[in-house]
Order: sequence, then C-alpha cells, then structure tokens
Amino acid sequence: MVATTAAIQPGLSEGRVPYAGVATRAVALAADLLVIHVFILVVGALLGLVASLVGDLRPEWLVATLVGAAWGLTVTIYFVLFWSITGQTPGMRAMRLRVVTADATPPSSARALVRLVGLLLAIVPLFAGFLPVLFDSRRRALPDYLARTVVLYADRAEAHGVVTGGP
Amino acid sequence: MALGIAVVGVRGAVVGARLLALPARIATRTLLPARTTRRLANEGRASRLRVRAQLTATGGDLLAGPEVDAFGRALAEHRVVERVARPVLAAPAVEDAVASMLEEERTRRIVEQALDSHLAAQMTDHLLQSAELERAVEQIASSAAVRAALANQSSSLAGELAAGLRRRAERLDDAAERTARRWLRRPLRSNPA
Repeated sequence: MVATTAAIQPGLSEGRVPYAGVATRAVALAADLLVIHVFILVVGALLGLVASLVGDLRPEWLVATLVGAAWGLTVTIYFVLFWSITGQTPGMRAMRLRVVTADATPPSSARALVRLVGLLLAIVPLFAGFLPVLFDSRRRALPDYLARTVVLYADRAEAHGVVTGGP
Repeated sequence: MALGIAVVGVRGAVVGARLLALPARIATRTLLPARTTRRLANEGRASRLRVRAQLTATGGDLLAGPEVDAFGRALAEHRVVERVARPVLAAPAVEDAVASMLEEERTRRIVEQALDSHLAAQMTDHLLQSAELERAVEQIASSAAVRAALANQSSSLAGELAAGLRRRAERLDDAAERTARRWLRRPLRSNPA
C-alpha cells in the first residue's frame, strides 16, 4: 500500500497528499444515494403506472425480486460507470472528490466493482467500514483497502499536481 | 469641377477678347457709318448666340462623355474628399458648431419630432421584423460569453450551496479525525492544504 502514495506523486510526503475525510465522503455518498433513489422512484412510478393500466403484476415475490434486481443493477451501473470513467460520481463531483488508483488514474471496471462490494460491506455493519478513515494515514475505508484506491480532494490534488484534471 | 473650370475659362477668354477689342469697337463706332455699325452689331449678336449655343452643346457633351467618370475616379483615387473633409472636420470651429447645434433647443425638438414620428415607428417595426436582426440576436444569444454568463448566473445558487457544504464538511473531516486520534492517542496528521 505504500506504493500508492509514491506513485501518486513521487517525492511528495504522505501528509501532503490531500486525502478526503470521512464527513466529505459521507455527504458525497448521501448525495449519490439520493440521486439513485430518486431515479428508481421515478422510473418505478412510471412502470407501476403502466403496469396498473395493463393489469397488476403477480405474484408479489416476483415484483419484489424485480424491484430488488432493478435497484441492484442501477446501483452497480451507477457507481461502476462513474468511478471507472471519471473517478467521480455526481455526489463526489459536487464535493470535489476523486477516487484514484496507485497510478493516479480512475479505477478499472473490475476494480470499481470490487470497490462497490467493499462499499456495501462497509455500509452493512452500520457504516463501520468507514471508521478506518479516521485513523488511517491515507484516510482509507474498507472499499479503498479492497480495491487499492484512495479518495482525494480533487481541486487540491490538481493544484498540487498530485493528479491531473479529470477526463 | 473640370467642367466648371472649362466653362469659366471659356467665359474668361470671351471677356478678355471683348476687352481687347474695345478700342477697335470704339474706333469703328466713331469712324464707320451707322449702317455698317448696325450690321456689325447684328453680326456680333448672332455670333454671341452661336457661341452660347456652342458652349451649351460642349457642356452637354462634356457631361455625357467619359471625362466625368474619369474625373470621379481621379477624385476617389487621390482621396480628395477625405483630404478635404479631414481637416475641415478636425477644425475646432466645426466641432464647436456641431456642439452648439446639438445643444440648441430646436435641435432637440427636431430629434424628438423625428423619434415621435410615424416614420420612426415604421422603421423600428421594419428593423424588428428583419431577418438580419433575428440573425444578429441569434449570434449574440449563442455566443460563448452570453452562455457562460447565463450558466454562471443560473448555477450560482447551487454552486454557493455546494461550496458552503464542502467547506463545512472539510472542517468536519479534520475535527472528526483529530477527535478520534486523540482518543486513541495517535499523532495528528499534518494538514495537506
């Protein structure tokens, strides 16, 4: 893991890399979840409206399974797509955060998928997976440990030349 | 201008010839018999009429000919109008005259009347309905500067909210980390900012 910092900016001490803290990341995550759920709510309402015109969908377990699958698919596509393409979700963009790998690039799709699994694992035990951010020298949480990524304040990282501007 | 010079030249020549011939005319009036004098006078009048008709025809030929075009081209080529107009317009007297004219109550009244006139309204309507104005408005509206200004204005509230939230969250980041590290008696991180 020491290689992460060295690759982000050779010669830059660990304390000089602007790693993002827990509160900023929490606000970004909340914003992302809000966006996702508003999207699911709108699309679900439209589909429900259409379904009510055609006829009720039965049995109920099928409805629940479809809704759960749709939610899982939406969340997966949302996070994996944004992390792997730009290194920023809309919530992270609003909070000027960027997730990068050791070579200061956005994570690959596979790495982003691993990070998403880590995110879910971190949330399940009442967000305990984010506690390491408070103690880790690079402010890493469980998803970062698993995917070997770090989260930076994007504007300060660009100003310090730690990473270049987004794509 | 060339035509004017030509006409003036011909007239000057006629006057000069008449002046030169004045002693001869006086001598003939006194020496020649009255009949001969009348005949000569009639011939002189007829000659004058012929010359006048000839001059008129020559002037017409001049105006109809290519000389006028050549003269106009020469004026434009040598920028005569500009050369004459520039010092005239630059003269303080002209500036003063224009300024005093603009300050006059009468000028103001004339301008007001022109603006209130039906013609002004018609011109405005014509301008507003013209395709050129529509194109100009489209170009201005699609310019990068206007779009940037509109985007900046519309996103300013959201931007300010996000910036405020970011500042508070970053302060909370450091505060939470300091508190947690104190509990665990760990050294504090240096602030990268």
